[in-house]
Amino acid sequence: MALRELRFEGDPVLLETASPVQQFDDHLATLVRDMFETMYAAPGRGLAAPQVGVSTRVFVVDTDWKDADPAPMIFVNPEITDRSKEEAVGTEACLSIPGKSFDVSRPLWVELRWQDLDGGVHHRRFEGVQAICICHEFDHLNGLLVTQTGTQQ
Amino acid sequence: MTLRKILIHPDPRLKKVATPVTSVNDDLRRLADDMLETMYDAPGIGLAAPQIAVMDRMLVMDCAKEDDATPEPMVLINPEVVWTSDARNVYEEGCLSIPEQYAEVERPAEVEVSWMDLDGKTRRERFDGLWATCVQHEIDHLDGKLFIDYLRPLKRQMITRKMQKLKREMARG
Repeated sequence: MALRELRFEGDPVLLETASPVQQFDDHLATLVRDMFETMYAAPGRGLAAPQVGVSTRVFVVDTDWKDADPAPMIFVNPEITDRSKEEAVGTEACLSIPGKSFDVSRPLWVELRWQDLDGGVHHRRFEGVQAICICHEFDHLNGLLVTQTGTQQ
Repeated sequence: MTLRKILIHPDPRLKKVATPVTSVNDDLRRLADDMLETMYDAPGIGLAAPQIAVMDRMLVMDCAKEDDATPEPMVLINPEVVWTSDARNVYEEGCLSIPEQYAEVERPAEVEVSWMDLDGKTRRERFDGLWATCVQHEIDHLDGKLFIDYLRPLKRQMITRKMQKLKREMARG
């Protein structure tokens, strides 16, 4: 396990469209393990691979660990297959933009299809904080930051 | 039918581009009913879905506003301006999301709009007068644009500050 170096706003890797994962190997498993370690140390609730300089379609999320038991989730090659038409505004922060917070409008729920570390396909609906976090991390894979999608408070 | 809460500027949801509607179903018809009820209750002559936090490209309007006029509710899904007149017109516009603020906006005097109705049929019609202004104002909402975006920055900032104050007062209840 190793902490990876966080990339900050202004780093071009954060503006790239990340590439799909094609090989579900040890290399991927190590990346994900390092991403969790980096996220928990930051501390944060979500981290996308571009935020540690790897332009690949992977993000990790744990919306619970700050208040309850850890509930780590891994998303490889995620796709949003459906979303609520109704949106709500919430306050978000980003590990790549320290010390600032943003009002961002997000769907109330999203349906996501993604792969796990072995390439297995999953499909599930997420709502509430999980949906917000997933949308935020998903945006990172498309080079989108809350500086563009939201309004700074 | 349910009255929906109208978002007040400034709100990130009012600045988003709404998503095209892909199917006309009962949910959408209910939404249209709610939007008309909310618009008449306000009262207003037009309301776009993003104004009630729904990111659909749909709007309702009824510009027959004289007290004794027969209501003419219209529901426009995925509306598009397909033609604009060279002649322009100035109206003093207001907006349910920017209460009690009015300003003159210049727009094409006539527009032709195509849209889908609640039966899923494509319609096309030419609007003039207040109807033309209203339909353009509402279509702007679907692209995250407000009438104050046409004003000079100073005037726009003044209105935005008034709205921020209004929202703080509303939050205090």
